[in-house]
Amino acid sequence: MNTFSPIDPKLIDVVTPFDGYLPDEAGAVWEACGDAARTFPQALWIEPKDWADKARDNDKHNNWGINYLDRFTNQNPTHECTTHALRAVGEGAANKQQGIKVGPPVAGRRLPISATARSIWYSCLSVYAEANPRQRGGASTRGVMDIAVRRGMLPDRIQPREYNFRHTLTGTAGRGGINQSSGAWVPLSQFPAGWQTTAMQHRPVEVIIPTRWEQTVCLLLHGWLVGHGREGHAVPLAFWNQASQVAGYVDSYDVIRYDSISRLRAGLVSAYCITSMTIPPEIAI
Amino acid sequence: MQLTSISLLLLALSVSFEGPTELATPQEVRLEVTGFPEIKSLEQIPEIFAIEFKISAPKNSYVNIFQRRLVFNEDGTSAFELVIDLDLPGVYVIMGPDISYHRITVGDQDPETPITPITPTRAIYVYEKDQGSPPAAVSQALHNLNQEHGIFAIAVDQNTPGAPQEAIQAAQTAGLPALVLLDADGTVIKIIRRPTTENHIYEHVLPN
Repeated sequence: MNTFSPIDPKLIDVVTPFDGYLPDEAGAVWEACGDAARTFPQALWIEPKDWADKARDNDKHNNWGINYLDRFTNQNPTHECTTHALRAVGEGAANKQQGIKVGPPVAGRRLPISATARSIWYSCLSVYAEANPRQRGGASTRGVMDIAVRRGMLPDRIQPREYNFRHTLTGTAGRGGINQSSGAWVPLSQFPAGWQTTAMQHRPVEVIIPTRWEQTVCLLLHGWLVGHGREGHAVPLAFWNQASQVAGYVDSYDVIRYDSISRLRAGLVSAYCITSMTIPPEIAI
Repeated sequence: MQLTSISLLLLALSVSFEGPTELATPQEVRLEVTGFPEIKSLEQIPEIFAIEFKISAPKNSYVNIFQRRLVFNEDGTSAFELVIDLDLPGVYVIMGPDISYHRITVGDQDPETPITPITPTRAIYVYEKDQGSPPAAVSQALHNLNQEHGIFAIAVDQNTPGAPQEAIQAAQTAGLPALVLLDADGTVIKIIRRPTTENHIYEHVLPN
């Protein structure tokens, strides 16, 4: 990966119709994360003058958040964006924890490494169905993080390998794809019996809340993903482009796009970085 | 002139070692070496740092002195703190600049018997995110251990639920961050403190 190549300006700060992100209030995401919320640790701070060196090191070792993601998801035409961002931030953290670089993802393709890694795909619908039972209208980051931290996410019906999870759920009521199951809306009341047990094993346990856009960049440089919402759309930031000074994200429409620094500032009110996920027994040794 | 002062210093030396003499498994150890003359001027410090220690180690060992630190005591005396990575079962002898030495036996075995390397089945890098994240090179090494060598290798914050507790505890005892190697029975066979490069990890984890 080369994050020193300039980015096509047409891919920066792309404006889309309302995708489902409802604005958050200051401090709301912190409260929603409860015991999992963490302030930005000073040890993770990287001086801006050193960003280029760290980016070069990440390029060399494929250590960006996007290198820990092995799939795109597609929410079209739903309002599930906040949960599609959440699944990416969580999956990236889980794969980084598992020590396997499964990415970067390729739209429309199943990567062979997914079948040999311990990559787990989460169901966006398993969170959105509770965050907004009315289906249309979207959700805030506070809303989905409260659910994810409190009771976890269910695995998608489609997995890169057979884990024999006791409970799974449709990935999205949107388009989905080769790596994400799609289907009819499933209300919370129709989740499989006993689903809570499985969901609790797929839960964020440490979530860093950045308060400055530079902290967001530092977290990207450390190889994690950062979720944030702005202008009606929530996205998972997955790497930093040093040449254009923009953050790349894996958009829930099978494409990579970029947010400028002004958008990183705007997204701070909803920004979060999952650094630790529970390890389910199916992949523990 | 400097040579003379070093020689005079060496003539005056009669050092002694303090530290473990028997260990169940390979690991890093700390030895305190005392017996240096009182330091009366800063000029003496380079002379003391020039003192060499030698190590006799089992065959195939990559043992090295990981860290040398000079500690000043309130009474004017000084001591060396040596951090040594003992990486294989067997007998190690650390020799001082005089006739003193310190012997450490690692593992419950006759040092004359051939050593069979123990291959780890799991490599758990344990860190505390408040102190930093896994270095990019460590992440790359873990990836390669997983994908190319069939070793279950993960990187976990010390508070991660579901992570192997025996590895977490061993790392916490040794000091974070650390890479803990476990055999198929879950026994800790080695702890590598603060690995930073791929080769540092491969040297300890992969069979020769």
